[in-house]
Amino acid sequence: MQRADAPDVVELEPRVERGATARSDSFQRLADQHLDASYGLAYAILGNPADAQDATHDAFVTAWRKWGSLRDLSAFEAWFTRILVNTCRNRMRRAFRTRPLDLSDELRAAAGDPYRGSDDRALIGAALAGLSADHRIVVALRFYRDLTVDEIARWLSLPAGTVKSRLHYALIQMGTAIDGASGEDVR
Amino acid sequence: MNEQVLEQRLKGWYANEVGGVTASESLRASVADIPHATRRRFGFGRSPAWALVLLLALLVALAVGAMLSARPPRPVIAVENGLVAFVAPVGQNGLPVTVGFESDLFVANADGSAIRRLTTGEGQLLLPTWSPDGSRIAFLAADRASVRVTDLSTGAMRLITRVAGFGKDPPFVLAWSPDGTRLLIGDDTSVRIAGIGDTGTSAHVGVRIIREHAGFPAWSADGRHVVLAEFIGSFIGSRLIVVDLGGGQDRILATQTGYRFGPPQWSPDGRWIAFRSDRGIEIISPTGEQRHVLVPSSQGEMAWSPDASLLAVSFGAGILTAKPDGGQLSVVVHAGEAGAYVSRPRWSPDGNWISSDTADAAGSWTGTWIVRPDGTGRQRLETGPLRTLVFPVPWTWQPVR
Repeated sequence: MQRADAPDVVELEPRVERGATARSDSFQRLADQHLDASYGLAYAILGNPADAQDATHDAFVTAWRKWGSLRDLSAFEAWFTRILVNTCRNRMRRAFRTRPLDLSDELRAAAGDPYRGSDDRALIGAALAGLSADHRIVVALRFYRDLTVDEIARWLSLPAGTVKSRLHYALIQMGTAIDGASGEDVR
Repeated sequence: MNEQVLEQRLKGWYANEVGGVTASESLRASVADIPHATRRRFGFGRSPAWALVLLLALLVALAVGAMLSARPPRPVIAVENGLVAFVAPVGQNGLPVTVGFESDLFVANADGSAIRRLTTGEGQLLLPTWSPDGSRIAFLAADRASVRVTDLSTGAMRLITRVAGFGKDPPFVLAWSPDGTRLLIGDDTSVRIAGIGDTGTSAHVGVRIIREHAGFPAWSADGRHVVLAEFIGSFIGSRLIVVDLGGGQDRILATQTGYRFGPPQWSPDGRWIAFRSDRGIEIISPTGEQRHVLVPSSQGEMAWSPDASLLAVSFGAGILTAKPDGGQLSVVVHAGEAGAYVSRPRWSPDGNWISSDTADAAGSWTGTWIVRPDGTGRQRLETGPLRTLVFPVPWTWQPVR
């Protein structure tokens, strides 16, 4: 069975670079080229800079360890994105599934807060934070990275139907959360 | 909300919050150093200088270790309650480490001593769950999409069942029956029950689905019933249902729309079922006749004390303990370091302590604390010189044999 974090093995071309120096050079060149975008994606998935920084670094460590399995350097972006996404997913799974809120906020919300729901930025952020790891990943790839469903499916080695389903349910969950928090009609 | 409107708002949110972010110089430097750092780690033998550095480091480490081991031992609170189980990545020396790509199952004394590794190379493991007699541990082998049970005395490990759908909502649940002969397995598609016999090596007698479209199963104290949450559509609502394993009529305890019930927990005396609803943390009698809100918060996790006299609920940086009959919060316990988020309250088997995990603002695990139910004795579990290496992930108490 294929491991969840196993990289794509792309066998389109023979390995063109051999030797430690060439390997190191090509890795550093691609890492530098994709670093900002990778950090941005990790930030979009994890929601905070500290975790995003750690996940990005860990993903590049994994990429270096598995560098030999990348046969076609032009496939780096998809290959590495998959590693990064798996790293983010593992990080979220290790973190706590439920981060309790301060009770005073809950009590204030239960009592009615006139300003509750007025901040769209906070509403979207909170709704994203309520998604599962898998849902946050597809939402970030679709709406932050602007990938199509088929691209997400190919990069993550998932059926397109699974990606569609995750996006659908993620949006329903977010919509319900936002409507509930802002007092809008759920329908 | 219209889906297209939400998509636009999402794109706008990402553009405002994440668009244009760039990696810090420190991250850029550390990533650029990865090939060299890795080569240095494995290539020190090429240079006499590295051998000298290694030798000096070894001497320093030995000296520090000797100093630390000479320190007075920290109070060891939980050893009398047996072992703790946890999953963690494995370092090159076979000991748990904080960061890694695979994980193994470990047990150790609660002070971090006597670490014992129970699995090797099973990929990412999750949810170590003690059998009631403390002799076996069930766990989820995520990479292999299976539930397995390992026996502490023999080291034997058995595949119980394959699982599909792992990683989606709601979270996976493993729960041993009170007599240790069956295992409840809940994922986002169904609740299953596996008969696994009363020893670690006996053949299991099969797996059957007891409810489709359901999750969060929990046993009654007598092992004859299971309470679970049935999901009505996706994110539409759920029903709390008591399933009679003897073939009797199932009982619907509660229904709500727009919000899924959280994991129900049956009190050890069988009188109450605690669960999370849109009204807060509630308890309901198994017949459904009595029901009231204990904590007006729909966040937090809960755990019954072994004698069922208190329900501990995590919130913010502390733990509430509530008496089920009174319907009032009785004690607020600050359970971790200031500013931390507290989760996973768990009672020691003797009921004298509540342990909980703390996380920083980013959600990263920072430690495990214990506190008495009256709020006294709060302390972080110290594990000696290996504290930063031991218990890198939350652990669970071993039941009293």
